[in-house]
Amino acid sequence: MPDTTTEITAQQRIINACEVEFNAHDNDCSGFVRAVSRDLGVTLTGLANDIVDEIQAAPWTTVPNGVQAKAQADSGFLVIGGLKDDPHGHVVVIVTGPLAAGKYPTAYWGRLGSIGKKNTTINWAWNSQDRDKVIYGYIALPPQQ
Amino acid sequence: MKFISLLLSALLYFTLAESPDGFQALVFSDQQATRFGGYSFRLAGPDQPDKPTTWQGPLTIATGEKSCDASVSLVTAVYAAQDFPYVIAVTYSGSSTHVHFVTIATCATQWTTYKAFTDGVDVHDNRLSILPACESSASDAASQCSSARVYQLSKDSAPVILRKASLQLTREKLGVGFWGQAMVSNPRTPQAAIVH
Repeated sequence: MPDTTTEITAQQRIINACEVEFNAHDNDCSGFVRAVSRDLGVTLTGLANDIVDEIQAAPWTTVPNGVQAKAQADSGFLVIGGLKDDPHGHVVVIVTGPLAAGKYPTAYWGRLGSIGKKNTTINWAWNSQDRDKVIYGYIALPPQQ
Repeated sequence: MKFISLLLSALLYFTLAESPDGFQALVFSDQQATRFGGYSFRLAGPDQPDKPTTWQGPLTIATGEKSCDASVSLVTAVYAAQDFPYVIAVTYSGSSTHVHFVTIATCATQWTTYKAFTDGVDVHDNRLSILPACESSASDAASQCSSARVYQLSKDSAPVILRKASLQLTREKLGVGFWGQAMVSNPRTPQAAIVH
């Protein structure tokens, strides 16, 4: 029987970290993801394309689609979604929340030349040609200090 | 006589200023078509009904009984100009911004769709300016920067890159001039320098 109290706390910790870091990084997707991860005790480095590589290697675990990414976020894991591009890819923090069109999870992200989005489904981050190619990786949050 | 000449010059100036020439942004409100040059333009799927900033698309262009859809997604702006046979649609996906040239009569995309890592796109009069942008992996690290691109727009032919203006805009915004991609230390400061 899972400890529901702990799960809710982990979900809320992730959302709280997103809210705390959003204003400082709303125009910088990789900076936002690095800052949120750091606040939660997880290290991610580099720009968006580097982060997409990192979430596909241990200790991260990948899931094949947005439905399963949402399920991991609902379970309190830190879930990052990303897609590499030339010259710069894009990364987002998946949070617990609804799916759009039954497959695009809710997320927070920063975006250059814009102000990013809070608590918005990722069909507003990538267009119809890209959104089904997004890679998702998740990791357990370290215990709070 | 000199006074009358000055008065006529001033009248001519203000008449021209009040008649905008060149490209201007179309203003869209939810559920309503915007009219321009005998055509109506409608964007579907706004992000927020009261004050939309992005649309899922498509862009529907209609005149009389004829209508077509341009398959542009995540649209942030559409620019049109009197007597130009195309509109410019600005879209994004991930960190990339796309600039499409959409033929009004058919909704087909013509020429190349420009893809850029940019701080923004400005279409003013008959110039398209794709602003430069930088991203850094740490506050003390050099930034990976993309140069500005400035194009001259005309009615009948593909946009023409203006290299001197592009270089100048890059230098104005980032503090250093270059073309394409470059690693830059301290961009947007007096200490900006290209890192080799």
